[in-house]
Amino acid sequence: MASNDKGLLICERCGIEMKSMKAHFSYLGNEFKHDVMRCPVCGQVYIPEELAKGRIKTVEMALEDK
Amino acid sequence: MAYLCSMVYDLEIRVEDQLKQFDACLANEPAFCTAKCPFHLDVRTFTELIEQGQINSAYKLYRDAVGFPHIVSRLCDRPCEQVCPLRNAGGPIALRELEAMVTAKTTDREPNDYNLQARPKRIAVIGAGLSGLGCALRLASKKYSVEIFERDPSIGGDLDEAMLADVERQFMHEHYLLHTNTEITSREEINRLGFDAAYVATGALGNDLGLSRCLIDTAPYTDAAGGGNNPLGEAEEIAGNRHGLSDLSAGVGIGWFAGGAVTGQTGVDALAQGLHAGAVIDAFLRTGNLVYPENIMETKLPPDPKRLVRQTVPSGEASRCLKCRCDACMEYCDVPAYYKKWPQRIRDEVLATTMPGRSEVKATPAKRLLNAADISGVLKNVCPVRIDLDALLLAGRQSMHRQKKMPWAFHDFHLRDMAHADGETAALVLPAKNASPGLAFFPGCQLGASAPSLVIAAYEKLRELDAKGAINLSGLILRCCGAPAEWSGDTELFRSKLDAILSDLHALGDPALIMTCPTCAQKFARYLPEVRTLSLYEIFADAGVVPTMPQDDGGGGGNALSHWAIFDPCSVSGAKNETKVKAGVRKLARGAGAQLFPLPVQGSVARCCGFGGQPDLANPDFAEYVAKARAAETDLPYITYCINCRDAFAAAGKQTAHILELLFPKAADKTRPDATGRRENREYLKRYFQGDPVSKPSYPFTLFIDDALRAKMDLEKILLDDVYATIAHIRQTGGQVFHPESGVHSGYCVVGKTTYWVGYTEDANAQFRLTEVYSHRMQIEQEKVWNGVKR
Repeated sequence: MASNDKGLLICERCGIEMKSMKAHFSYLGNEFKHDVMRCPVCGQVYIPEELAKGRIKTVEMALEDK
Repeated sequence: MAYLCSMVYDLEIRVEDQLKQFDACLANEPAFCTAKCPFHLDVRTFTELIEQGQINSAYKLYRDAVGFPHIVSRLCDRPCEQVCPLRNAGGPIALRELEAMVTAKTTDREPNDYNLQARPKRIAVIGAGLSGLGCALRLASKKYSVEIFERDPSIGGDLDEAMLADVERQFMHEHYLLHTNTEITSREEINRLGFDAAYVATGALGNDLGLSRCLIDTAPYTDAAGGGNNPLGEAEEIAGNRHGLSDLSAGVGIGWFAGGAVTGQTGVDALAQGLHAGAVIDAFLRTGNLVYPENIMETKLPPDPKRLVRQTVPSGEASRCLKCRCDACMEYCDVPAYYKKWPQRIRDEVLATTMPGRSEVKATPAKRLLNAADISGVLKNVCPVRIDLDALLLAGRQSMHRQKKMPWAFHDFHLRDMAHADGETAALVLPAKNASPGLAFFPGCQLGASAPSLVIAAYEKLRELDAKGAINLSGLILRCCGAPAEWSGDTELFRSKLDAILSDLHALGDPALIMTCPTCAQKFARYLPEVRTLSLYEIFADAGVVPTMPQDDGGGGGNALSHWAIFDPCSVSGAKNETKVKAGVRKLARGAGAQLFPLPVQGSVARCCGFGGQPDLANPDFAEYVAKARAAETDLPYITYCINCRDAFAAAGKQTAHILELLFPKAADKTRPDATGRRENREYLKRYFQGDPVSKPSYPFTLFIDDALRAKMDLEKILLDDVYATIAHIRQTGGQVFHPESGVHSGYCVVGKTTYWVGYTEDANAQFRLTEVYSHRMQIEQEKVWNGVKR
């Protein structure tokens, strides 16, 4: 699920609307995928602060403890 | 003499070498009363339950210990009172009254009815006095087949009706055979009946069935059932073989045990011995082991007179109980107290965490704790057996680093900060004009970052003393002592820092060092012991340095105040010159007009402010907890001589002055720099000593940041450099996202290992305004091919 409550998002490089798509992440040797807002053309990623301070932070903490 | 290379020193410590010391921990030692009590009642828990109003639980605890609560609460002759520390301070705890109270008040008097499978072994109990009944109760409740042989027509000897009712109650769920009017006169009678074990408790003038004689043949007679390592059972086993009795039973022979008055124990001691014998016989029947420990408990608990000084007025007899135990670590050390874990548990968790193996197949319970802990040396100083928890934590960090399992985020910011302090924009080796091997000033990297003007003022004062011939100043070294590297567990990095320090010293002709930071001094003493160090405060105190401004000026550092407490930083503790440094600081403070009052903490334990060991990245809550706990120890403002303590307390809202702020009030700056300001200060300091105090850091464009965002950046350790780097990067690469509704441009950039996100607006006049900034540790992985295009 993409997290974006900031309305329309435009990729400045491609000039088109960003969409919710899968992106790859890694931390401490672990890899996973998550739906975030991305540019369908160039793949530019946008992560809002709520996601960074919410789910991402939680996963970071869990991996640091593992 | 030139200083040696740090390669000489072994910086590595191993977890396995740190484990054994924890065996000596006294946390599990019984209280004095528990050790003395023949039933070893857990008095700490007992009185605590009463305090909490849990009378039924207190009763169960008591009943499980004594077997017959009604009897013992009436007959016990209170040996606990002889050892209660309160016996000379208001009177010992009236435990027997408390025991009688819970026995009378409990609403759940019925014993537990355990649904256990019957055990096939048969035990003969000879004598139905208190000792025999205790032994029978323990064994019957374990569902052994128990038969009691009593010479008289009834059980219980002299017990009155109410006591006999207690016996009946405790046996209400148990089955046993009672043979009254049956006197056993020889072991042969029991042997013939096919019993597996027998307990002889025939009373003061009873027939011991020759057991004591058997034992006398083989070993000293101690106290029979509680016969230490020479139990009667063992004697019988030996004697049995000798007398050809082992043919009565296949395998091991019948185990004979004795206790109670026949062996000299009377009253509740006899009962305690019977209960103990029940456990001993159970062990014998399961393992064949006839060697068993005596029913004697000793305690190594050290007397702690501090406990007699009460913080609150007790609200009843149970709350008068001091709950005697060794808990110096819980009282003084933040790691056990914050995590609510005793040292041995921390040891076990660190051991489990650092054992080689993938985290998928083993637990890593202390991965965060290891790094979210102060390394302050406090436990070693307060622990009666001097457990060095810090050594274990450091060894654990080193192990995690060697195994490449240390989460980089736990130390990254401080390591980058160290790199900045040691980098070309901030580090400096400045020879004095008349340089010769004398004394060089080593203010450390934190004082200059927090308060560069204090470093300048102190150095100017040193030059003044040099001009007067009081000292021979050979220069100044601005750099880090390497503590962040040590704390990160990266011994190679730390070694490289120590070597760089030695190289700087060599450039100045290997001088002795004048230290301001107790942490730096501690690292030198431990890792570069051949480098001679002196404390700036000793030198200033000897030289009679006093403030440069009148005391009522109120111009800086809160020195208009006169009532203070000195906060000794943890890192001064155990230093070779600890006494002199402490005395020097006090002399300087008094010279600056301060009236000093002692801290309420007992003794003179120097404790951590939450900075030592850099726990703040792995657990900011812990660092805050420590700072707040220290700040709350007195209402008086603090004078300290570690700038990290000052900053930690200031952040916790505590009025605190560095001793140099009192000496140089004009140089004291009431503003506290943020994370970016600290770096700018270091760079300013270098430029100042190089003769260029005017130039300021320049940035490629002007960016407006409001106070709230600046505060957020400081809290989250986001530097202005990181923000500029991110904006420049996304503008240059075009990797920006536009929010049409707000007009904000967003994007990210990875600096070091951290991903920084910014949002900003740009108006028609190319003025930039930061609208948001945040970071995360997780990395965004770009696909190698996207939309069929290789990237």
